[in-house]
Amino acid sequence: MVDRPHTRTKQNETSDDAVDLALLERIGGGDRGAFRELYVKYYHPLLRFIYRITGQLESAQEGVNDVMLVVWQNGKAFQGRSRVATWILGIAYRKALKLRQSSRRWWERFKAEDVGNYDELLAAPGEHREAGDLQDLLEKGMRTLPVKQRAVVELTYFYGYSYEEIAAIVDCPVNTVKTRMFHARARLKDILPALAKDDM
Amino acid sequence: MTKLLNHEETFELLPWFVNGTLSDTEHAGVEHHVRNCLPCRIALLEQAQLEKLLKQQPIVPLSAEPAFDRLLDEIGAERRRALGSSRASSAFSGVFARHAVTAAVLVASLGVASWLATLGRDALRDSEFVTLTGQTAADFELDIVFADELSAAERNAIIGDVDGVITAGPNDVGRYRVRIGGNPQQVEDALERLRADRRVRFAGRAFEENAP
Repeated sequence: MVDRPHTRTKQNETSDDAVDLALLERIGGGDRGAFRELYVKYYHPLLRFIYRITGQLESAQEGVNDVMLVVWQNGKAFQGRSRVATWILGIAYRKALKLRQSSRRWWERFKAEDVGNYDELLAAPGEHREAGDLQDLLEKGMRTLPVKQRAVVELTYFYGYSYEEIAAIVDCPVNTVKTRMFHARARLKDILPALAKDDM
Repeated sequence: MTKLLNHEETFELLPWFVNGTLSDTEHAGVEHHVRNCLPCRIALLEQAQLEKLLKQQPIVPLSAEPAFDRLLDEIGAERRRALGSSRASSAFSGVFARHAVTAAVLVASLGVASWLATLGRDALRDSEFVTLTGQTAADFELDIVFADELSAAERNAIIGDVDGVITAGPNDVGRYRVRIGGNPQQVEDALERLRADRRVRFAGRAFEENAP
């Protein structure tokens, strides 16, 4: 019997969204205190998510402020069709893609990077891997993924979104989300057995 | 009730089984299949480990506060730019109107009857009046002081009712600067409504030096 590893409770989700909604309403009325509260709450999740897509910390920081500026300007227009978090992440996804498009330097750097270390790590499946090695391996594995697949993996595992919510964030059909995840897993399969061995 | 899932369906759903967001029916279906399928059990362990590692990845240790202050500066600068372009636009209209009138006056002075020249002077005065009015309306900002007992929610509701956004304040005497969106008429209407509201102690145009 396999235990359910992680369960997101609907109750927590609802109360968290109610807090966000209340903040958004106050922001719509020009309340800067509420804006600060929401900003601080979402700063790190947004920074990480945008960084995952752009690969540049500087542009990720810029991206967070771009996203929150949209929230400040359009908070009043939010119609509650999704959770506030889903709406904000959706804005972040679009901004991050634009930022990434406008600056491909990181990607070029990555392509030029010596992949010897990555190969080295992969070439030693029988050896015990330190946690740091695994993190490093995963980080590099994630970077090999196309950006849209990377976003789906990140939104699933780090942010804990359902496939329906991810479809709303990245604005595509549910089946596309599943397909992106399927391909991401296939690309990561070289390192995934090593991950499983650590836990078996 | 357990939904029976085949191998492909189960394999596809494993990531969301791991993050706990599947519906109860799907969850039970995956659980049932995994119990009897070794490849899916292995894949599930891989996915669980992947989730664990991704969650352990360090978050960039940056403080949100300085970034927030930068954003506020940006919002302020944006507002000033918007006001500046609005003023520039008004000024341009004024200059354009003055040139048009000047041309009319010139034509008149070239031989048309003197009553036309008088009309031209009237038109000139009108255009100057319009320019001044444009500059006044370009601010779209009001100064407001609320009654002491009001809560933040009530203040925001009053401001929201006139389609306003707080851009500064309160200062040491409780004065808020509020930007009203839309057009000059909307600013006028907002002013009238705020002055009629008993919960508002003072409402006036921001450029006026009559704030408390």
